[in-house]
Amino acid sequence: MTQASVKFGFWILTLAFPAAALAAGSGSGGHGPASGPPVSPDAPVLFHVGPLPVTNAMVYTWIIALVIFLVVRLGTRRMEEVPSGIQNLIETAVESLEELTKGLLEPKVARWAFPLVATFFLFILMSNLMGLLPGVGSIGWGHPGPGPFGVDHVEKPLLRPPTADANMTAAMAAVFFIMSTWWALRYNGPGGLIKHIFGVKGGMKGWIVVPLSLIFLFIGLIEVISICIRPVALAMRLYGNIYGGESVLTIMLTNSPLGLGALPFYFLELLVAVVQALVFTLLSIAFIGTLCSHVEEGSHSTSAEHE
Amino acid sequence: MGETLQTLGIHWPKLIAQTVNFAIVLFVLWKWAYQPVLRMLELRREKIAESVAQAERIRAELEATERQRREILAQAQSQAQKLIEEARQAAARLHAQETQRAIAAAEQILAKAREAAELDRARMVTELKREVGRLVVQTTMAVTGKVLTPEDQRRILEESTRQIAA
Repeated sequence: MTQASVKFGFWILTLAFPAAALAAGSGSGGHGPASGPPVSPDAPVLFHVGPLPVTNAMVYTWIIALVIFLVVRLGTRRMEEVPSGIQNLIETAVESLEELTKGLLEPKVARWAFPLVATFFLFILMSNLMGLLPGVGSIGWGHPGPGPFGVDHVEKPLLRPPTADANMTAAMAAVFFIMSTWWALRYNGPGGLIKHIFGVKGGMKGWIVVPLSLIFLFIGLIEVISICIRPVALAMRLYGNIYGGESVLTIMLTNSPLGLGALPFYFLELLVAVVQALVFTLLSIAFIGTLCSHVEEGSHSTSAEHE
Repeated sequence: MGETLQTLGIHWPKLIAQTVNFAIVLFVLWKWAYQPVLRMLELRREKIAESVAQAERIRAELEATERQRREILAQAQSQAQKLIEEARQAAARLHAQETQRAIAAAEQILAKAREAAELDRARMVTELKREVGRLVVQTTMAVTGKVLTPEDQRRILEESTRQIAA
């Protein structure tokens, strides 16, 4: 794709611009060139800031961060004892997430993990929902098409939901991995963590511990692999769902009359947006919980006793 | 592995940049959402706890006051009852005294009247005796046609008086 053949344009294939959808649909007869997927798996680079490549997902991350900042500042600038409006909304969100975290983790661990898991939820939710706004993924650069700004297929969208960028989901998973490992070390201690993973569970004593320790060593190795795979699973699940949704929407928009075929999928994606945010958050909490708990030790004592 | 990462567009600079972006979002939320909201929730929790404790205290005070009021009321009622009883007893005593006094006065009056009547009767009887005596003397003198001596008159008078008295 040479620069000369690429044109900045849009096909906001929503109900707001049905004509553009029609043009795009009839222009290419599908989702652009048959060589690639409807939506590029990687976030295209828009420009460079020094050595740093800036992708459309990064640009949208900044916009989402700005929106979050503005909403939060607006809601908590002058906090009142009797909440109303945006303050009420923010308080409800924060309190619900805090209760969710406290309900699944021990109080001490919940205090550590709450900011991170709450940010996971709020950021993923905002990103997923804002990814469904008209113009996201449909305004950008592509081969010239019908109309003054029309393109056959947007090959390089101006904006892309951060959760449809594997770099962002991997970044969040990496943060989760580093922080959960740190909290596991802080909670159990280095020796305690090794004992937690490889130790013989069930309060066994005597000669039986010797053969069992071999079994539990093997189980521990599987556990280590599981711990290492968790962030990968988290990142790929979120990325796959949102990227898949984007692809479905693009295909339905470009291959149905007036793009109306995408309408049911928008409702589905609304659901997916919330569910995926919740799944990422709940799994993060659950994974942290498996590393930071004393359930197996002693006579089923809870760690509340260790506080 | 490398090919997959390349297909997904995962590169270190982008990954680090997105990590920094996420960290910025985390900082923004921590600084301007979680901290103030959690502080406010804690403050509200404290205030609610304080209000509940205060309400409990007020309830206890109210109960104590109510108890005290009832005690005072009961005391007042008992005192009033006692006073009424005393007044009733005093009235009964006074009534009895006055009745006794009235009865005594009435008896005294009756005794005096009886005495006066007795005296009048005695006086009248005396006068009647004297008159009857005088009449007997005069009749005797008229019947006999002679002048009776003072001695005869006295004797006749005494005789008639004795007969009347009998």
